[in-house]
Amino acid sequence: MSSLTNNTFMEEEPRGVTVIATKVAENSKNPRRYSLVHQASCETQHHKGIRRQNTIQHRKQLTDQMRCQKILQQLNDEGIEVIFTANDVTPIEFSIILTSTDPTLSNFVSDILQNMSSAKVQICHVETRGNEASHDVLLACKATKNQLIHSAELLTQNHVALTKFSIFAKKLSDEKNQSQIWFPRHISELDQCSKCITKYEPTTDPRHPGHGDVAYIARRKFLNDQALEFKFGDEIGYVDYTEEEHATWKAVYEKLGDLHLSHTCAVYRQNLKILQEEKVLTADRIPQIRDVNKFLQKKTGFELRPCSGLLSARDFLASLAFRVFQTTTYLRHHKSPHHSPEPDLIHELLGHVPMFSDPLLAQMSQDIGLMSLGASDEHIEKLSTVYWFIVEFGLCKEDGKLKAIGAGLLSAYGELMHACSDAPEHKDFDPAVTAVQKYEDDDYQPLYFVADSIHDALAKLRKYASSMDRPFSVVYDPFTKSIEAIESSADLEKAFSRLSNDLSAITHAADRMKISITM
Amino acid sequence: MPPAGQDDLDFLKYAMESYVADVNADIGKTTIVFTLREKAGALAETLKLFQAHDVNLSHIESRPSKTHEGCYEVLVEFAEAEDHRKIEGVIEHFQQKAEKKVLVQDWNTKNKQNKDSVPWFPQKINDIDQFANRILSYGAELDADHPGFKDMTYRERRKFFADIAFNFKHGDKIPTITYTDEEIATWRTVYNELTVMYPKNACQEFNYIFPLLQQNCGFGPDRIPQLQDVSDFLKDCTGYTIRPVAGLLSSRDFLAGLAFRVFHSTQYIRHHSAPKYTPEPDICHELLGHVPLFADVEFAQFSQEIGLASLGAPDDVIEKLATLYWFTIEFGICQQDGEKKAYGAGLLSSFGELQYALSDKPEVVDFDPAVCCVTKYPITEYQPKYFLAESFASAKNKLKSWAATINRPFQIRYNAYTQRVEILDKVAALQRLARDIRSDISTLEEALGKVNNLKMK
Repeated sequence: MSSLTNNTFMEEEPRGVTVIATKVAENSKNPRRYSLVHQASCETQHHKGIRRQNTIQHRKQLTDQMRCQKILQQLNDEGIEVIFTANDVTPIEFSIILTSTDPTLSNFVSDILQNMSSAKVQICHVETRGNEASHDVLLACKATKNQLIHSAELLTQNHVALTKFSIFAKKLSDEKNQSQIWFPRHISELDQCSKCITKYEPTTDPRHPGHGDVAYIARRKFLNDQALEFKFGDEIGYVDYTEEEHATWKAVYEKLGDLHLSHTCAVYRQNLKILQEEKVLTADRIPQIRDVNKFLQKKTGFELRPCSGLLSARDFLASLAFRVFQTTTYLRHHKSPHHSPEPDLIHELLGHVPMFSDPLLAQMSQDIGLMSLGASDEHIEKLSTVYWFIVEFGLCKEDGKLKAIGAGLLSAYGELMHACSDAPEHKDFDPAVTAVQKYEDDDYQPLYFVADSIHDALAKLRKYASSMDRPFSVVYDPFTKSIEAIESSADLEKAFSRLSNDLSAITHAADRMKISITM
Repeated sequence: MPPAGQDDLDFLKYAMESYVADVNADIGKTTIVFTLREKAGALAETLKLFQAHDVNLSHIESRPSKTHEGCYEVLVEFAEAEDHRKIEGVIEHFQQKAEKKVLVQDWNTKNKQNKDSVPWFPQKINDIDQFANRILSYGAELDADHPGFKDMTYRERRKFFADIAFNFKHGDKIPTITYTDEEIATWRTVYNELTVMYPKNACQEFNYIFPLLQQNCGFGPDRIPQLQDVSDFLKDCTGYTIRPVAGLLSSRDFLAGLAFRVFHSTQYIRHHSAPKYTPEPDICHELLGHVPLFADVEFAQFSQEIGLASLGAPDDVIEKLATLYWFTIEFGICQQDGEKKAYGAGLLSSFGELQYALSDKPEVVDFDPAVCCVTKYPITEYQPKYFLAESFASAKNKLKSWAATINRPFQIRYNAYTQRVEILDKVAALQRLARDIRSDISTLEEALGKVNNLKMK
């Protein structure tokens, strides 16, 4: 029987577009740099803010519906949410903690039981503790929404000494019932991963090189609008870059070339050479993204997708799971060609593209993406940090020397020299350590992580991933470019089938070559 | 080293094809094989490229080309002590020249010296552009006994479809067709008659997918589906894509497409005067016969295995694979719930033969590739013999075992990320694949661990 199932669209988590002001650091020489880590941190705060706003709104709604508001105005946030999500049909389980200044405990408990009974609340467990000044009573209850509200009203009215009323949700024992964070299951759903939570524009920071340049600002808007309209299946549009933009590209291209032999890793140099030989990258013209994609497709199946600004970390990482790299299409300002406060096309093309041409780094990037699907905000922050320190600012050892593998280094002349010098501190790459490393986004890094090799980094990352708690694993199907969540043994069937095909290919080849392969 | 440039390409103006062996210091020798037009001075002119790069040769050998009439194949071997960077420079020019014709293939030098030439085969999905128009019969040309031979409107229509296919390139969108009322009426006749037979006679996989095609691609009696919509649907299910084709491809080219999960499909429809018979595959055959099962994961793998087995195979093997294809993908039946069901496209798009194949009249034998591939078959009447598969997975495994006996100097593996065929003829290539497999295993291991945890709660 075919395991084909119709693709189920899950409701996207609502996200508001909010401009979060960032404080200007007094002593900073450069504009604050965009950082995926900062982005992830902003998202966490943003999500907390949303939840807080929801709770305040829910509290107001409930207060309007209920009498005897004094105590209930002090009801805990979790209690508000428990009441709000309850319904009048199916009873829910919850806990209540009540505090009273009544000197007689039996009187307190008696009132509780009587009023709960009147409201038809089922009590499964009662526990008391306290001192001479006040008593706490813990109840485990089951009730519908109306019953819960009614019991709260009765108790508040009838027990004058009540000083505190808190409600807590029952901890779910079956993780399958946890609401999962939405994530894309098919590459076309990346159309819904284009939300920008924070924006960093030349108009908002006087230190941005493009500040005040009306033509430059208009140009960026034009390019971003073009990217905003892009949808899965569209052909990537041809961009007619200006001569000034070509000149900016050429200046960076040629200056960085001076450092390639001495400062970049062998993989980067090899792939860059191929890109140059195939005329995908040349000094005089800015490449078209569609031409770059043809090259990447042949190499690793990665593709660039135009995006209109700085994506949320969750969306950015989710795209990597599909071997899609969301790329900006504008260029840094011509006044400051060797520095860019945020990723621009030069960073993407000279930094990321040659490395995404490498199967190992492509696999590592995709693995980080796959780990992010359905992960908590906390894990998104950690993964963003790992991505930042290894894919953007990572180093590796080659012939006893430090070489750059991170795209942020490979496309920035000054930091490339700084990173490989003795000035900063260098630590061995360990995902568990890297994930909680604080990131400096006002200046060059004081600390860089060094991998023995890309292969070594990938192995460590795999090991780190297995320690992250998630109720399901995900597997990527490259034939259909979709994500399969594995929650039961039946889900493994297709993945095992692909694996056995590869195993038989290797077995036959080894037989033919009369050699043995150790895995 | 002399500067490389356009001048170097002039040295290769007589070269038609190149086969470039890998540069590998461990082997000690590097060989290039290229094909030259028969012309006085062609070889001397071409060899100037080596002089321009200051590269010494240790051996030159030529012979008449087996694949190009009137041309010569030349084998040149580099001197053992020659600088590898210079050799790479020379090879780059051959590859650059060859890239324009996209007729490049690599194989191990030692194998080359001991074997006949391996026929060219595509190694990346774009390479299919190179043979897609090598049509054995042009779609617009009809035999005198074709039902539409005397219908000039119909023949003009066939040419219209053939031109669309000729102009198609990988990555293009398949053009939307406005089918005529007459064409839609023909489709309706076929569609209505066949759909009443599917529930009882088609395999479970087919009947599972067919309703999905109705929902997602607009399959119905009053509308001929668009190939692009169907291709998008298949892509989402199994990664298969449809490519328009003008007519009948050679077996080698058609099977090579399957290796990349590319199915070559016609867009024209049979003549309205004979809706229940078509002398060649038409869109009814393709969409009602082939498409549903290409959406099945196991069947898609089975089809691709046939395609992969065809790459670089000698002609006699191609003939065997074409026979296997005929008796499975076109005229295969399988056992389900104790009854015989059809899964072959030729059966699923033909009322008469569908009933005949499942009756008691023809002979039915178990599917065995070794037997199947040498069985003779008629093409103008019903089959006297049908092969019965236990399941698609079973058929696929049998096919893989049989394919392993094909005498070929290398093993290949399809990389779905890059839509390329990778040749596994060196330890390095095997190690890369082993690493990929190890990472897949660790992913599955982790997934299994979590599944077990769920059960224990």
